[in-house]
Amino acid sequence: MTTTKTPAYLEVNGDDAAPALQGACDKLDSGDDLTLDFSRVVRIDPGAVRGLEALAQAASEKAAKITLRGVNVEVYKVLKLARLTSRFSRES
Amino acid sequence: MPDNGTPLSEERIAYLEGLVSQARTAAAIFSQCTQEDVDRIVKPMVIAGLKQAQNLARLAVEETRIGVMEDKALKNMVATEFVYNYIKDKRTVGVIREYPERGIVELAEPIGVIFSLTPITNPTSTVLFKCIMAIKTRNAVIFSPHPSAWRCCSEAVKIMYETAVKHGAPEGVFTCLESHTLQDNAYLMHHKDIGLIDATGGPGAVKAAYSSGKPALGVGAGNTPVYLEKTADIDMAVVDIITSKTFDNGTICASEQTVVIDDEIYDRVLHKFAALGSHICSEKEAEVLGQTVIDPATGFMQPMAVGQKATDIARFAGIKVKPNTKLLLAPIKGVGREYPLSVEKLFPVLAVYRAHSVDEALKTCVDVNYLGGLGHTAVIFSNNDAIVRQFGNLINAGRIIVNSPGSIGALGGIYNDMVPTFSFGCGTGGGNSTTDNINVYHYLNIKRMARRTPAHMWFRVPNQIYFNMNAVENLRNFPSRSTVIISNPSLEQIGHVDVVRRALPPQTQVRVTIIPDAEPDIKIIAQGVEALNFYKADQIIALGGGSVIDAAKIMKLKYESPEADLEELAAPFLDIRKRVVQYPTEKINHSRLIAISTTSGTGSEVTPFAVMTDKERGVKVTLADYSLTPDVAIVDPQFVMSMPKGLTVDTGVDCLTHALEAGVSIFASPYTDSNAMQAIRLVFKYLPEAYENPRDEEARTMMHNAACIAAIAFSNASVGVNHALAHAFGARFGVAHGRANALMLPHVIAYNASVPTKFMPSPNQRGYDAHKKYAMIADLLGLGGHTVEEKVARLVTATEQLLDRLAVPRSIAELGISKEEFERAMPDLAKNAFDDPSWRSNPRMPLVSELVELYWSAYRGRGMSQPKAATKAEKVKEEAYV
Repeated sequence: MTTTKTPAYLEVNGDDAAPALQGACDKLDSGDDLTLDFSRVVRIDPGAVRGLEALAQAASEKAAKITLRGVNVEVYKVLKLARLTSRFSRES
Repeated sequence: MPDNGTPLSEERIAYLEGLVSQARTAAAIFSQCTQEDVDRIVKPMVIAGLKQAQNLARLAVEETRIGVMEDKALKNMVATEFVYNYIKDKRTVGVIREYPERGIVELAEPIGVIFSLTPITNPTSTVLFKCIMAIKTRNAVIFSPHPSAWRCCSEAVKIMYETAVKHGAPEGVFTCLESHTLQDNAYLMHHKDIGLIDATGGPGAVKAAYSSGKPALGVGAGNTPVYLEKTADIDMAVVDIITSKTFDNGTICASEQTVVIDDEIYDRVLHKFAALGSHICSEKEAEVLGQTVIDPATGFMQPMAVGQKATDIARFAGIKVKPNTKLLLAPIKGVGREYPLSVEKLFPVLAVYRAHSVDEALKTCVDVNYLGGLGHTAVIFSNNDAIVRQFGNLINAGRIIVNSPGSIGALGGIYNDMVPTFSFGCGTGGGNSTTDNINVYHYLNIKRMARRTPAHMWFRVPNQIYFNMNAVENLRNFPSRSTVIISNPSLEQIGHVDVVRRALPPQTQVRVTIIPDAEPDIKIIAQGVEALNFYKADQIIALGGGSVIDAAKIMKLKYESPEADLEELAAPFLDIRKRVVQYPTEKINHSRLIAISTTSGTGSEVTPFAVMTDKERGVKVTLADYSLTPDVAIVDPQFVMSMPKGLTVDTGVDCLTHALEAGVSIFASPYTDSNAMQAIRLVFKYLPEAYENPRDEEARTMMHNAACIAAIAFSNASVGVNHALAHAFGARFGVAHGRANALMLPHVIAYNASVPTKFMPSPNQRGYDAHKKYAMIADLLGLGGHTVEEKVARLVTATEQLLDRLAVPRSIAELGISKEEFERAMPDLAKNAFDDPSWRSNPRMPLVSELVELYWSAYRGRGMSQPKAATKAEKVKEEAYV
């Protein structure tokens, strides 16, 4: 995966999202607003799910707001099954 | 499995939560896999299982000290190869089955996380089987093996897991609980993220699974009876039973437990068993054996005997047997707690019972079946198919194995074509939800996508319809040996019967049966049938209005099919194509029915309906079936030229109501619309002329045609709420049907044209269009108006004007019915109108409160383009009726 980090924006490119999500998690500061762009993700792997779980946990602890943008419906269903959808804000 | 009663520690809960979380994530990821992905993972798992079959079998025997290594290896191979052979081409992802002719598509939805309990008796084979099923269906599994089989099971899980992940399954898809307690199981069984519990094991585990409140597949104990009937192939039967009962030392719960043998072959069978390495216990030995291997306190088998060799069990009991003894046969004299060996014995001890008749044998098998084996498995060896079927009917078992070994037969795929499994559903008898051999479809939620399928429609009319002046002359084309004319006194008096008689071919023997000019009753029908039989009629001519023609239809039915039960045939129905009662097709007589209508309204000459009264029971019997439709209809206006004005109006308005209701019916079609619309046009144009100038031949002809055409429409599209209201009202107050229809008609048009409170379910309707159909009728009549609403309003007004021109009473009040009397009648009116089947084809489903409101609108009468809101006092009463 390659990511383009901007102050509040992370584009997730798909195949290897876990390290980027872990990086985002480490850098998350209190009160941050972060948008993760999933527009180019067509399939999600276990590492990414774990990364999102960790990110959700960190956001909760740091009172940060994380928004998922452009999640396709197949990935959305996976996040739903993993009980993750309620832990993020969403943008279409 | 220890149960120390202490609550789970926080650490333990965190451990269990971790397992569930990991499985949940794996299941979520797995849901993205395609059928090809899944099949690519399953195949190497099967191969890995096959390669490790012997190793896992050895581990299982070493750890559990139960069973036979060679047999367990075979079981591991069945659990992989045979199961794979069954599932390899099965679709378990996405669309799994399609039924295009039914518009049904079945789609697979994984369950998610399955919590699986596995037994001590078949530990590794069960794990292999469940892992393959889970991957094939994209589920994750948390295994909880029997504590005494944990090592071999966890090894089996490990082999399956590593192979699956290597080929693309998500990490965490299988986990195996470390040493655990009953509290661990209970915690997981109640966990919100566990979608299904699959419990293969003892009754305790199964009961716990079902008690958890979760969906569960609980598969437990059996007690397999075997009937060895005298026609059986004894050599085959004995070898099969030994093979089965000694397989893995009898640990498969489908294995034989008690063999019931016919007296005639009993000695021969036992001799054969002995010759093939079985020890036949003496009475004393059997008693000692029972005391040894069955716990007297519980009545269940002693765990120490499970899966042990026959020689070891004999040694425990102090019975001397030959070193190579495979099986111990213990004769018993009955079944129940007092006969310990009649229960389940998962070791090579087989109870045998000598039966002195088929009846005794079957009863004994039923007793064994009910002694802990309900829903599980039963076996019969017989070449008498009648007895095999009787056995199948009597025994409550999910698997009834015929002429083959019980245990290996029940596994499926080897001796028969049953689904290969290692979990036997035992139905409600065994406290289970299924009697199936558990397979991949039980690991799926199967979704059914049902596409809208338009109901099949029809358009049925008599074979031949002759119309216009002197159409009766066509009777010459119908040769007959014996014709019976059915008519009424007034038509005979004015010479109509003679007209018909003269039109018949000269050689025809003609008899006339005159019936009263009223709705026929059962006695009149019976008399008519008697006449038809006496004259051996091959042709019936009904000359009259609806009553005469209806009578002739019923007479023909009873003449041709005397066994026809009119009361049963009148049973209500919702859809004529799905009705419960079928009209007779067997006929002892055959006759042609020619209907000549002498009124222009009911259209009975072309309808499939007939009404009669049963005076003795005080009920009206309505028959409806296309077999009642006359074969020939003659629509000759000469028979209506002298119709009185009142009858002209009543029948004419009935005809208009038929056409208007058929036009907006939920069964309307382009075929019926064309008839309904034409009939409406003819009525609006010619009914006033026929009324005002009764001798106007054109008007009479067109109205006579209109009645027939409208009847063709409503014979195929039915009528609606107007008829329901009119039927109930007419019956209560003795008002002619057409007049009763007229009182309701403008109000019903307005009612149907407004937005329904409840829509009528109808697959053939694409949206609500009654108002648009009325607007179309208004256009056809050239009533003007720009919008649908305007056109509907003009149709209502035009209908009211037509009724005014015909001098029809336009309110119930005008009939001299007091408001108090009408109020008193209202509960019955509303109930009877709602019970009337006519409204079931109405475009709008009427609420009882709406029927009440329509009645009050009709009571208030004229000028009601919309049902007027009831007064406050009326409203209170309306609510009381509802």
